[in-house]
Formats: sequence, C-alpha cells, structure tokens
Amino acid sequence: MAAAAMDLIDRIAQTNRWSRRHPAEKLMLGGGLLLLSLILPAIPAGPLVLLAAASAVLVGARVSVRDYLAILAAPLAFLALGAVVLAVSVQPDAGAPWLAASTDSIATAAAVTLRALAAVASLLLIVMTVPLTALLRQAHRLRVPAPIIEIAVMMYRFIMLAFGMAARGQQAQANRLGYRDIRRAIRSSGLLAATLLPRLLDRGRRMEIGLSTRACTGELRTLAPAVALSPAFLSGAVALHASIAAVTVAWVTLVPSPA
Amino acid sequence: MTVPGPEALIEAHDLHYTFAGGIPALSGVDFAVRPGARVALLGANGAGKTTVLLHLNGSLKPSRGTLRLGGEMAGYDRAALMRWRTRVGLVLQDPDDQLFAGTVYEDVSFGPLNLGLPEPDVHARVTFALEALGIADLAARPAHMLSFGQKRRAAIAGIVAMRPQVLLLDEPTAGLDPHGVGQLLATLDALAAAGTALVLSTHDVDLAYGWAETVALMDRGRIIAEGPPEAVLADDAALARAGLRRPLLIELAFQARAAGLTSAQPFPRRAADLAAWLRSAQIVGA
Repeated sequence: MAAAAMDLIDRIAQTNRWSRRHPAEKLMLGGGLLLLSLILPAIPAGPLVLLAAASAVLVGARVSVRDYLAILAAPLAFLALGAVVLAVSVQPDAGAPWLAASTDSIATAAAVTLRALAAVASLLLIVMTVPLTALLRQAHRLRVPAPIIEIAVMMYRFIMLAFGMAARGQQAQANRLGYRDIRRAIRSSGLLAATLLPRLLDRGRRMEIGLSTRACTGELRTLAPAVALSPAFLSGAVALHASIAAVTVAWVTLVPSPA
Repeated sequence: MTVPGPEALIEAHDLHYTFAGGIPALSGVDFAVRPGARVALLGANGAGKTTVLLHLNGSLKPSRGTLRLGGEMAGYDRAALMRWRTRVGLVLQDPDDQLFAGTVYEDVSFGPLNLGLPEPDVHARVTFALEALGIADLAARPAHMLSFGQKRRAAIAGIVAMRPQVLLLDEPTAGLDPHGVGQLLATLDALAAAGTALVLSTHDVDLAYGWAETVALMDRGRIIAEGPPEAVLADDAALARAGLRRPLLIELAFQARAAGLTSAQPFPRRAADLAAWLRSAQIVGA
C-alpha cells in the first residue's frame, strides 16, 4: 500500500506539467500556502488555501483528479477520524457513559480539520510537483553536505529498484498461485521479503563495479542542465498568497464572529 | 594465440582467474585489443566472456598472468586504475548495475566529472553522448522510468561521454528488440568510425558474423579460436566445442554448395549481400 502510494507520487512528480520547472518556484508557492494555512484563521483561509493548492495541482500541473484523490485518500481518512474524535466527547454520567457533541466542539473540529486539510494540500502541492531528484539538487545548491545528498540519491535509486523487484517478484508468485488465499499470501510475502534483501545487496556489489568502471573516486558528483527561475511564476505565487491573506483579513473584519 | 605487439592498446597474457569457492573462470586467456578493433568475444553462457571483460578494465585482478596497457604493465593502485578507466570503458550487461543518479543527464555526467573535466566540457560531452545514443529527450527522466532498451542506451552514453580509446560492451544486444539492436549497431559503427576500438561479448553467432572483424571463440575459460569471422565461424569443430552453431548465412552458403548450386567465394557477410552473392554464383536453373 505505502509502496504503491510512494511509487504513484514519484511518477506524478516526475511527469506532471510543472516537473521541469525550477523547484524553488514550487517550494515558494507551496511553502507560502502552508505558512498561510498555519497562521491565518482557519475560516475562511482554510478553504481558500485548499482551493488554491488543489487548483495548482489539478489545473496548473495537470495531475489527474483520480491520482490526486488516490494520494489524498490516506491523510483524508486520518483527518476524518481525528475530526470525529474532536467533535464527539465521551461523558461518563450517572450510569452508562454516553456520547455528546456540542456546537463548540463541532466548530473546533471543523476549524482544526480545515486547517489540517489546507496544510496537507499545500504540502502535497510540493510533493506532487517537485521530483525528488530536483529537490536533492536544490538541497545541493543550498549547501547541504554532499555525503548526505549522495546517500539520499542512492537510497532513492535503491528504493525504486526494490519496488520494481518486489512488484515483479509478487507478479511471478501470483502467476504460480502464491496469493490464492490468506495463508499462502502471508507465506509468499515473507519469502519475497527474504529474497529481496540478498538480491539488493548483490545489486549493490555490482553497482560498485559499475561506478568504479566510470573512474569513481568515492564521490558521486553529477551535473544537471541549468533551469531558469521564472519571475512571472514567482510573482504570481506572491500575488496569490497576498490575495488569500487580504480576503481573510477582510472576512474577519467584515463578517461578525458567531461567538 | 595472440602475437604480442607494441601497438596493442590492451594485451592480456595467460590470464587465470578463480571464483570464490574454487570454480575456475579463466584458465590461460591470451587476448589483445588493437586500435580500430571490432572484436566479438563469442561463447556460450558461462564461457568466461564477462570475466575477460572485467579483467580488461581492471575490475578483476588475475590470479596469474599479466595485462599490459599500451605496452606498459598494468597497475592496480588507485592512480593506475584511474588512468586505466580513462582509456578503457566497460558497459555492464545489466544497465541497472550502472545507473545510479537521479536523472539520465546527471548519470551521464558522472564519468566525465570523475575525469576532472571543467563543467562546460562536461555539459558538452553529456549532450554529445545523449545525442549519439538518441536519448536526448530522456535527459530529465529518472532511471526507473526508462524501458529496458532506454536504460541500456543511457548506460552506454555514460561510458561514451568519457571518450575511452577502448569500449568494452558486455552482451549489449541482450534483451533488445530488432530495432534496438539495429540502432545500437549503428551507434557502434559511428564510434568505430571515430576511432574507438570495440570489444563486445555475445552468444549470438549471427551478430558476431555480421558485425565483427575479429571473432574470439571462448569455451570454459579459454579462447579456443580467434580470427576473421568467416574462418572462425566456419570451423565446425571449434563451434561444437563452444556449444554454438554456424551463423545462418554460412549455413546457407554451405547448403548451397553442397547442393551444387554454387562454388562462389567469399561467403556473404550480411543478409543484404546474400542476393548479390547468389547472383554472382550463377545458380543453376535461375
């Protein structure tokens, strides 16, 4: 499950319409929205940020609604559960305990959920539009020490290799009916996990030869073509942030608080 | 088997190598790569082809025997291996063993950067290599989002960008479709025309016959025959020993002769030559 979601996020990040844009542009857009969702009042900033982040992903980066919802489903389920817990309280009274929800608790639950949802959507905007490779390259520009980035690059490569091996292995087992019932499925996944580690270690050894044939000196330095930073995109992002903040301030001033 | 000459780029003499567990891999291999060579190292699975290639770029050290690079004895210290790999590039059989970086572009830049080239030169070499292999449009893709053929070409680009004098390719056509094989051979022709010496390992006798200028036939850790393809690949005894068969075109030529259709020489090297060969042979009844 988690592997499938990670694989899907990686595919989306690598292929969306914004994937070749400068990562700083998307970090700025998503980071700004995240900040707004945290500091502004959840109503009306929450829905506004959510709308902005979702439109950026769906309209701007052209991610399909289906993929977006598939990724959003897990945090959404988690948030829904949290909202119920916040809205409903258990009140042990004389006799049996009973459940209660007040207008106050429902308002709190709604505010917290909206804020969290807006924050998740902002974060997903970054995660789904910036390929990990571009993120690591940006980290290198920000002077994160090279060994840390090199380890991250290798981990990324090996995780993706492991996903591929696991998917092919599972397919091969399923072809021989290894998943026909729960007992066999558990056994098959165990066997698969056990073969994956030695195979990855073996792969690692062979990759060492592969690197050394290219005169590797112990460092994994690479170059990427330069990507231009778009002033139009950046000013658009700032304008969006400013208008969300302005609408929120106007709303808070003009609309009387229900309390 | 190989006459040692000062002009050889790499010269291996009496190489012996044993795998962990005592399984012999090479038992006395003599092999030389000369400038402009197009050598096919031909043999069945397990004959020792990959092990020879790994010796030729210093990835493995022979337990007995010697290797010379440009006439000088090969060293295995860090500096010597660095010089060695600058001159001799090896493309591994499984491209996933070679590709590690985030994107194809970054991966191809790895070798040239290790050579200590300035960044503008590295960019130029990466661009050249990606175009030579026809994968410029894949520059920004990560390795796990490439097809097998694309991975193979990315791995070759990573070595081509280092501009080695000798390019060793381990089973470069394995797993490629006919179109992919055609593209790869065209790229190899271009590299050969630019002066790169090429050695590829394969068990495909037809490929070796059509492509190579020299064929070295391997069996159980030895080179049992070496020479022009039309001689080596018509040597039935050696082929049988190596567990291989005649190339289809040689087989056809033999059949045509046996049937008294022709006695023309030499054998056609490519399918396209076959018609001309048959015409020149004045087939009876044609």
